[in-house]
Amino acid sequence: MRPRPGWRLVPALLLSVVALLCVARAAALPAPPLRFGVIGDFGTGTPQQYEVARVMAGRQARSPYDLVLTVGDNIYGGWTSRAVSERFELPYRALLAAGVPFFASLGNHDAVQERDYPPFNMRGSRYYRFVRSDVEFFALDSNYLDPPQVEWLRQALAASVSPWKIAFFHHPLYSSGQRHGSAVDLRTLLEPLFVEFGVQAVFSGHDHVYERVKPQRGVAYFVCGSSGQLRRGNLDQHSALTAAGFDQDEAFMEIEIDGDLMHFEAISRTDAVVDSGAIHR
Amino acid sequence: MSNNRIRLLVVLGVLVPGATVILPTSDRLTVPVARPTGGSFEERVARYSRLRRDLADHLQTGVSSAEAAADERFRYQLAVAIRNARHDARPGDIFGLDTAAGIALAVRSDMAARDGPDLEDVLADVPVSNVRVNDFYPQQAPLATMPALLLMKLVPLPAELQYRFLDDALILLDIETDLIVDAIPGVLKGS
Repeated sequence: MRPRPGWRLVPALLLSVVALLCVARAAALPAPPLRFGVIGDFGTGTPQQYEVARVMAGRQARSPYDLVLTVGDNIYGGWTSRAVSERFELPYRALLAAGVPFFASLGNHDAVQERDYPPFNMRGSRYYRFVRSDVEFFALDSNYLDPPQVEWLRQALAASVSPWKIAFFHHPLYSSGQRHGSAVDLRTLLEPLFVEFGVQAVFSGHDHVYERVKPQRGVAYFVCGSSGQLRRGNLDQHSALTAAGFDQDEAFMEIEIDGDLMHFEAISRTDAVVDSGAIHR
Repeated sequence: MSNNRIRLLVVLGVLVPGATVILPTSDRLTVPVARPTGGSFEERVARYSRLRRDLADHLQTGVSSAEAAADERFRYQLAVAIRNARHDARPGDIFGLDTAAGIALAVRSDMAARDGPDLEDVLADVPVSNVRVNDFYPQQAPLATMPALLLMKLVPLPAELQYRFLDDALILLDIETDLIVDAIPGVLKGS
C-alpha cells in the first residue's frame, strides 16, 4: 500500500505547532526579578568603606546581586593604579570574584579616564544605557551635561521599550543635604525628560547622606552618597523634600524589581535596615 | 646686463632653491604649528582637532583608535606631541578676543543670576591653581562641575574638548590628554 502523499507533512506540522506554543508561553512568562546594589561617594579607601563593602558581600552571598550601580565619586584622590586597588578592587573583591558587574557613573572627583576602566562597564563613554531583564538603565555624566548628552538622553528615552526606566548619575536633582543640596540647573534640563518618558526612579550621590525624597511629579529620587564618605548631621531636618533620611552612618542601597514592583532598602554600615519600601509601576 | 651675468643669475636661481630639496631634512616629526591666523572660534577649534588627529594618526600603529584612546601611554605620548607642536601657544590663540569677551560676559551673567547658595556651590568646586596654556591640568585637582544651563549657552565643542573652570579662568580642556588648550583668565573674578 503506497503512503498518502504529504504524510511527511504531519510530523513537521506537529513540531511547528509545539514550537509556536513554546514561544508563546515564553513570551507570556514574566521577566525574572532583578536585584542590584547602589553605592555612591564610596572610593575613600577608609575602614568605613571596607566595612560597607563587607556588609554588601555578606548580603550578596545570601541573595545574589545581578549588578551594582555607582553614582559617582568612585575613586578619590586621583586616578592611579594604587588608588584603584585600594579604593575599589580590594574593598569589593568578594563581589567582583562572584562575577557581579559594576556599572559606574562619574562624579566630580572622578577622572574621565574611568570610563575606559573595564570593571566599570562604561565602554569608553561618559554616558550610556543598558538593559537587564525588563529594566533599562541610563547612566549620565552630571559633571558636564552638555547639549549632545541631553539630546542623546531624549532619544534614548523615547526609544526605550522597557517597562522600568532608571537613571543614575552623581548630582541629585532633589536633595536636603546642606553641603550641596538640589542641582537646580540639572533639574531644569532633566526633570521634564524623566516625567515625559516615565522614568520611575533616579539614584544620585554627591551629598554624603542617604535620603529618599518624596515623589516629585511621579518620579522617585534617592540620594545615596554615603557609601564611603559621610557628612554626619548634614541633612536638613526641616526639609519638606524628605520622605526618609539617614546621616548618622555610612549606607548603601539594595533594590529588587519584580514585575511591577520595585522593593528598596537602605542599609547601614552596621547592617541595619534604615529605610525600606516599594514603588509600584 | 651681460649674458654671462644673466646666465649666472639663472644658475643661482636654480641652485639655491634646489639646495633646499637636496640637503637632508631633520628626522623630527614636523607638523604645522597650530597658530590662529584668523577665522572664527569654531574654525580655530577645528584646526586644533585636525592637528590632534594628525598627531594621533602618526602615533597609532596597528591599533584601533578606540584601543589607543584607552591606552594611558598613548594618551601621554599624544599630549607630549601636542605640546611640542604648540610650544608657543598663548592664551587666546583659540578663543580669540571676540569669543573670549562673549564667553566672559555669558559666564558673568550666569553667575549673577544664581542665588547665594547655588553660586557658592558652583564656586566651591573650582580648584585653585596656576593656569598655564599648553600645560597639564593639575593631577590631584578634581574637575569642577560645569553649570548645565551655562553650557547650553556656549558654542558646542568636539567630544575631546570641554569648557571647565580652573582658578578664576575658563579653560579649554582636552579631556583625553589632560592638556589646557586655551584659557580666558579672570572670568570668575568678582563672582
